[in-house]
Amino acid sequence: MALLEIKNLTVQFDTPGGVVHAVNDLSYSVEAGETLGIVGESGSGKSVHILALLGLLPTPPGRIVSGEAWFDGQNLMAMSDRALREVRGGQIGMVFQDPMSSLNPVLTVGRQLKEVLVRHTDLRGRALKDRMVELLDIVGIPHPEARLSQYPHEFSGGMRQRVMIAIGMACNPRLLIADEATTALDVTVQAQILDLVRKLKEDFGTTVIWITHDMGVVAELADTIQVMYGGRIMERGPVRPVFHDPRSAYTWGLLNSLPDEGARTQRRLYQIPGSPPNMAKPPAGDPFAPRNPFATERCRAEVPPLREVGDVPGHKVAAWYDLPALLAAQKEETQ
Amino acid sequence: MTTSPPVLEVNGLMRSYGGGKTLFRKEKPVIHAINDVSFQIAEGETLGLVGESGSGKSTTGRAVLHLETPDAGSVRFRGQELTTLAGKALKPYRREMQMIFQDPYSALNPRMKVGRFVAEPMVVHGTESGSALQDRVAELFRLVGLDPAFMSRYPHEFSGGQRQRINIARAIALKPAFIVADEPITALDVSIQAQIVNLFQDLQDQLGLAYLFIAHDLSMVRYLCSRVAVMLRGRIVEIAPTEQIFSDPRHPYTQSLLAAIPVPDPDRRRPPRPPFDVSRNIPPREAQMAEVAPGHFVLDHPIQ
Repeated sequence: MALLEIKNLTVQFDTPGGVVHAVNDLSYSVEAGETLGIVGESGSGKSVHILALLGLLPTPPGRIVSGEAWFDGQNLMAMSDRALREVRGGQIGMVFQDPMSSLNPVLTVGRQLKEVLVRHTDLRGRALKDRMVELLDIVGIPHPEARLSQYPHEFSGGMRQRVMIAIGMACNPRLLIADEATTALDVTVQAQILDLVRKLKEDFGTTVIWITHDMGVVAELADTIQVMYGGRIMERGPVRPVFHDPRSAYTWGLLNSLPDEGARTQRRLYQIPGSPPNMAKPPAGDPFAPRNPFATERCRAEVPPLREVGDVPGHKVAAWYDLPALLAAQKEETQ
Repeated sequence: MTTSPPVLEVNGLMRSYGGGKTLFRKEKPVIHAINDVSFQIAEGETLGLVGESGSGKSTTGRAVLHLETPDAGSVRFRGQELTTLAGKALKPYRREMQMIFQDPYSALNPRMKVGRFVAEPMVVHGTESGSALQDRVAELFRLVGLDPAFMSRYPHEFSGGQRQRINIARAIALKPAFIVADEPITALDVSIQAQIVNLFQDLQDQLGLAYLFIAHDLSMVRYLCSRVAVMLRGRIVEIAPTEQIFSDPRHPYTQSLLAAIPVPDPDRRRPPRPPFDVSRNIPPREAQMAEVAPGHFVLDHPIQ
């Protein structure tokens, strides 16, 4: 059963340069226990749609034009601010990219952890303290008892991010949403955090939405990958078919532009031409069409619907073209 | 690579912070940001410099360019010692050595037209003027893949990738021989990173540039660099030809860095591995590099 179902979400920003079409008629669902990896670049709508459904979108300039977000039988979009505050940090845990600005610098880490627990649980006194120590211990912070009385500046970047994850996990959320949570961290710390999230999934069955630009992180952590561009889903499906048999030219380009493992075989990397779209002046059809060497007239004129593709159920693409056929034809031509 | 003469030779470079008195404390503890750093870069070569944040990568880049004065050690550019030079005597060498920063947004002056921004070093050094200057700026725009018609625009009109191209155009304006690139693709969108990496390679082919490429993305380093140096707590702990580092890493810290790279293939799982304990394994001052294979050096110190 779907734990989260987003229906026809459209978000816009009113700016001096015009209306920015950040999220366009976005619909998808996340099953209980599933890990969804969302990949996209600036302007893809990957972060904005999460802020919108959590009631964290600054309005104005942001504006939720339409949409529903059903979480556990309740429409988050129709909830009062107060009710939504109960869900956030409680049933839905969040971890954002920048731990320095997400933590309050003048409060101890213990105090900030306590705030979440007192708001969302009945734990008090000794049990509350024990839970706080336990949480820091789970995320691998040494000497948790002593660390509770320290301030954020006394933690390294990696340790601060662990604190953020501890806060995100504090109330055993049913859904954990992480937005570029390991991007600013060193690769060794990132590896530890990914191991930790995998363990939390195993131990608690937590449903996870992990937003990142790193295809390696998605391959490692996610069951399902969703590739977003121009405020829409370009491709989505179980990780194996999407990585091994991509059907969107954008997914294909992203995977292809990564350096090969092993000895260098080519002097230049494959590069996707052009720049991310300006969503104040969105392309008329498929948002990736202006950068897509395979684009047809129809791609430039008409937005393609998300449709089932290939042999694996749940593998979907929004494209008018047939990528495997085009790649095969291209290969034949060069031979 | 190793046969051509070095464009840059760095020997025993040191830089520490603290030590002085402050208003509230008698004396701050001395922190050795970099300690006994030595390496060479050949003409037209790319040396990768990797390590965690705080390992001293950026300080090394800045000290090499004299943006920070090293406490001790030697930096030679084509045989000329730079650490003993100052002011005017240093100026001709500054032309030859340039820097590209991580954040293409803050590096640009928002009130300056990008054409003028690219022309500025040539005006300061008096290399070009008048219509020759205009022609040179247009040529630089074309070299980095920008339309020269964009010269009269302001930075806010450009995307992140285009801004980094503008920074690169300025860095190569004085025809340098050597560029320090400090995390130049980290802040860019994924679809743009390959474009900038290709531009680095194209410019190297056309202009014979040597790079010190500071990065934490090891897969890009593997692709771009002919040799790699790994830094830990201000020391280089391993330096070797790139394929040697990736196929036969000897220092446990290098091994843990490589093991931590997420693999973009769902069928291959990164093996779980206890992280290298940095705090218990700070290299002692007296540790020396040992050559374990031709051109492959590892810092020799006990590991807990």
